[in-house]
Amino acid sequence: MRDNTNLGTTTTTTTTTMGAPLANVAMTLDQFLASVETRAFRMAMIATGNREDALDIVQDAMMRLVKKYASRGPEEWGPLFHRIVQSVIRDGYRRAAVRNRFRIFFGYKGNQDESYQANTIEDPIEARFATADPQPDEQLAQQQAMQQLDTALHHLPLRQQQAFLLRQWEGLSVRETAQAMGCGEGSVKTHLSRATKTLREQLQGYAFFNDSV
Amino acid sequence: MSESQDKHSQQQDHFLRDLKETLDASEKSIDANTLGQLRAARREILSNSVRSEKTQQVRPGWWMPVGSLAAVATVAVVAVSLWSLPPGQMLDEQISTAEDIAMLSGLSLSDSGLSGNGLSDNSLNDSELSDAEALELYENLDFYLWLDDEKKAG
Repeated sequence: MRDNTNLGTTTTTTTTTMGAPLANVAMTLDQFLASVETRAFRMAMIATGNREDALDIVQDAMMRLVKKYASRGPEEWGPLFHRIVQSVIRDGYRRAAVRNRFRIFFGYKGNQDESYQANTIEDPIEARFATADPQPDEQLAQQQAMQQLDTALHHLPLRQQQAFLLRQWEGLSVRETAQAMGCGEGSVKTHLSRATKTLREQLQGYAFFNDSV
Repeated sequence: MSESQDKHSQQQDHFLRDLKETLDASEKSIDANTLGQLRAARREILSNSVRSEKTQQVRPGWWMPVGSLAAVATVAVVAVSLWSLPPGQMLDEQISTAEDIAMLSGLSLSDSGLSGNGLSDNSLNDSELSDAEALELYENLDFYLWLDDEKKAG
């Protein structure tokens, strides 16, 4: 988990509510959200594969945190924010699943891939070539690795994806991950193990990860 | 732990570290436009929240207890003065109001049914004269003027 300990030092007097020193709490919240928004956006982007959806998810999560939990202590914001983000992503999946069921039921022949799980991730490599901006080899290799990893993560089942990102990337403990995902610690371990196994299998063909796989 | 297991564990750690580094790099490579949108959304949410919090908060100032006391005192004084007023005095005030109206309209007190010292014998008594009647008299002023002219002419 990223180090947010610096937040605590400035907010020892603002553990009550937004009503106390209002400007202090708003400033601390601003710092906290600034420190987590990009990672939350990446997680949402991996989950949805769509930039606008990802932005909506992060905005929604920030709004819920500020509205409902601003009065909590800053040390609680991290776990709460992760929980909200994962919950909003799950809600989006459910809505997309219902939409798809309706489309299938009514024989909708449009873009079948228009689901949350759809592969609508923009290809950064193609984008780079399109702008005719020559990149050094290393950067290009990293771009490709990102793309491969994004695709592999995107195609994982949502629970495995969440367990992997929260535990391995965000660095939450098993207990914190379970709280954020709203499931048991045993489930987290199972999801994580399956996710890691799948990722190893999927990425072993790619040069960037070949050394370790 | 056997050598092969140890190697496998090392490979696993290396693999996970690579993934983490790649994810870190992907976070840093988010484009400026998206970062701007995230920042704008955050600022808007926070400013809305502060604004709504401020409107909900009514901060009790020094004037609040003083104002409350003043209001209570005023109500108490009015209530006590009304309660302690003799009933006749109120009636006298009503009559003097009626006298004023009559005087303004040019009617004599006897014509309007009022005597100089308070009540006429035939039309008004203590209980009959009320604000509503005084108002009625005032509203029908034209009629009474006409009646007065007729009487003078006839």
